[in-house]
Amino acid sequence: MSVSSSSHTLCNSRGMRVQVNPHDASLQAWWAPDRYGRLADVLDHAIAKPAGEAAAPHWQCEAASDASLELRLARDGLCVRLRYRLEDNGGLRIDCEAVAIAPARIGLAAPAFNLHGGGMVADHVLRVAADHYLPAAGVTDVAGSAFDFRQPAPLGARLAWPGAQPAGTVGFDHGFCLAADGLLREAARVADPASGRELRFFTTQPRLHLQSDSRRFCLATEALDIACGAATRHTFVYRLGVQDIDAFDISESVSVALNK
Amino acid sequence: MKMPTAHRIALLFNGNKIYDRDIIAGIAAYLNTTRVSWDLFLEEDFRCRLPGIERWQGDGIIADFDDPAVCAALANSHLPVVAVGGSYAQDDGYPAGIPYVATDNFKIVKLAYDHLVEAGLSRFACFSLPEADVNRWAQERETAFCALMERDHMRADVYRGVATSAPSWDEAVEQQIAWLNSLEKPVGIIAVSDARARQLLQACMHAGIAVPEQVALIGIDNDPLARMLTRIPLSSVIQGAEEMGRTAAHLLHQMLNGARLAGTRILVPPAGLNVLASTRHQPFQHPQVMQARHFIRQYACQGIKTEQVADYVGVSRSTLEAHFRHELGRSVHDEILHFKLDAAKTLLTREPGQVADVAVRCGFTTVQYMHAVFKRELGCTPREFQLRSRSPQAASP
Repeated sequence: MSVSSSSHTLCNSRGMRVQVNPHDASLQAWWAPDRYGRLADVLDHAIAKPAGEAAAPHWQCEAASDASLELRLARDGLCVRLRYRLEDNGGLRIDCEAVAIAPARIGLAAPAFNLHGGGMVADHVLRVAADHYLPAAGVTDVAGSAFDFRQPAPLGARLAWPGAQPAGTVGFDHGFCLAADGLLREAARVADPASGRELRFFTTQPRLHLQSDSRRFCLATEALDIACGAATRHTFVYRLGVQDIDAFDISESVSVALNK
Repeated sequence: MKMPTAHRIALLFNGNKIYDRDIIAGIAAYLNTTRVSWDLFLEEDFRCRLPGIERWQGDGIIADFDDPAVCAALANSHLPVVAVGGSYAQDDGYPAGIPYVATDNFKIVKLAYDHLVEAGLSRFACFSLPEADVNRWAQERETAFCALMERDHMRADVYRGVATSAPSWDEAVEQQIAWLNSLEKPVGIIAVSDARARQLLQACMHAGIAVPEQVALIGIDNDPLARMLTRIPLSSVIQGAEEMGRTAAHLLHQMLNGARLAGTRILVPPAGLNVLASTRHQPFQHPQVMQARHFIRQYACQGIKTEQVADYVGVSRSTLEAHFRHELGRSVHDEILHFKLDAAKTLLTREPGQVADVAVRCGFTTVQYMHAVFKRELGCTPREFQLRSRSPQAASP
C-alpha cells in the first residue's frame, strides 16, 4: 500500500477509522460511533501540539496496512520507531521504541479530543487514576482538591471550584502522577454523557498531562526520556468505546506487561 | 499526639431518596479521602427537629434546599451553611447569600430530550407534578422542557396530573390514561422523576399502550427501585449527585478554614444516561410486530411461547411469523429467546447467584437448555460467561 499521500487511514471491523499523518506522526481524524452507532470525528486540532520539543516532520513510513502503520525517525544519533495498530475493540495502540547514542527527549504529537464531535467539553466526565498532581511547583496530594479525579467528575463543574482555575487561564493544564512501574495501565477515562462515547487512556509512563479548554481536551504523557544504549520502549493506548453505565471503575489490576 | 478537633456538622437530607443518599455518599467520599474530621449529625427525622436548628451548637450545615422547611429554618443561621438543591432558570429562585451546589435541571432535561430525538421521535411531552413548594424542581424541569420546545418550534405538551394518594389512586391512573390516549403517537415522554415515570409506565400497561413503540419514556434519577418495580426496564438520566456531595463538602471545608463563599454557585451537569428498553424506539415498525414485541418484552422470562404471543396480538401464528421474518429477519421464538438470553446475561453479570436459579428466573425450561443456548450463541457456558464478566482481566486493553 502506498503512503505517499498526507494521511494513512486505519480501519477496524466495527467501521472505526483513524487517519494518521505519516510525515509528522500526528492523528488527523478519528471517526468513532456514538451510542446510536453514528460516526463523528472526535479529534480537534487547535491545541494538539507536541509536549516538549517540537516534532520535526522527518518520519518515514516503514510499513502500512489497513490495521497498522509503522513509522521511523532517524536523526542526530536518535532512532525512533512508532507502530500504530487499530484494534477491533476500538483501541489505538501506539508502541514506541527508541535507541539513542546520547540521552534524548522526544515529544509526540498528542491528539486533542471532543467526544461529542463538536461543541463544549465542560460536561465531559473525567476519571484519573492519580493520587498526586503537579501544580506549578512540587507534587501535591489530590485529596480535597479540584484535581481529585479518582471518582468521576465533570470538567467544567470542577473548574468552578474556588481557586481551581487561576484568573486569566482557561481550562486544565496539569500533570498527574501515575503508578510508575512501567506496566501498561489505565491512567484516565473520559465520557461524554450526551453521545455516550468514552475514551480510555492507557500508558506505561509515570506521568499524565491533562490540557483542556472549552471545546477540547488532551490526555497525553509528557515528553519521553530516551536513555542511551539499550532500546527504550513505551506503549500508549487510546481506546474509544461507548460508556458502560454500570462499570465506570478504573481497574486496579495490571493489564499487559511491558516489553512482552 | 494531639488529635485535631472535629467540627460538628449537620447534614439535613431525606435519606430515603436515592438522590439524597448519593449526595451523602459524595460528602462521605470527600471526608474519606481527606484528613478532614467531622462529627456528622444526620437524623432520619430531622424535619421534626428543624425549629431549634438556629440554636444548635455546631460548626456548619449542609442542607437540602429543595425542602422549603429547610430553607426557612436556615434563613437566619449564624453557622456556615452550604445549600444543595435544584438549579433555577431565574436568579431569584436561589437563597440569597448562601453558597449553592445545584443539579443542573436544564441540562438534565436537555439530555433526556436529545436522547428521545436520537431515538427517532419527533413528538414530545412532559409528565410533571402539580405545582407545589416541595417540588419546585419539577416545575423547573417543566420550564426547561417548554424552553426546549419553544426553541425547536414545537408545542409543549405538559401534563401535571394529580399528586397520587391512596384514595385517589384509581382516578389518577384513569386521568393519566386519558392523557396518554389524547397524545398523537409515537411520542417521547420525559417524566420529571423516575417515580413519576414508573406511574406512567404502569398506566401504559393498563391501557395496552406499547412502550417504547408508541410511547418512549425516560425518567430522571436512575433509581434502582423504580427499575425493579417496572416490567419494562426504564431509561433514566443519572444526576451528578455524588459530585454534588463532594462539591458541597469541599465548599464547607473551605468556609470552616475562613473562606468567604457567599456568592458561589456551582451547577453540576448530569453524569450519564442509562438507556434501557423504555426508549429503545424503532420507528416504522409493523403494528402487529410492535404489539408482539411489547408483549414479549414483558413476559419472555415467564416462559411464553409463540402461540401466546399470536393470541395476544390477535392474529394467526403464521401471519405473525411472516411479519417477524419480514421486519426483523427472525422468528418469534428467536425474539423470545433473545430477550431471555439478555436477561440471563444481565443476571449472571450482576449477581453471584447459581446458574440453575438464573435459568428458572429467565424462563428457560431446564438448565441444560440454557447451557445449550449459551454455547450456541456465545460459545461458552453460563458459568464461564459469569466468571469472564466478573474477572478484572475483562478490562484489559
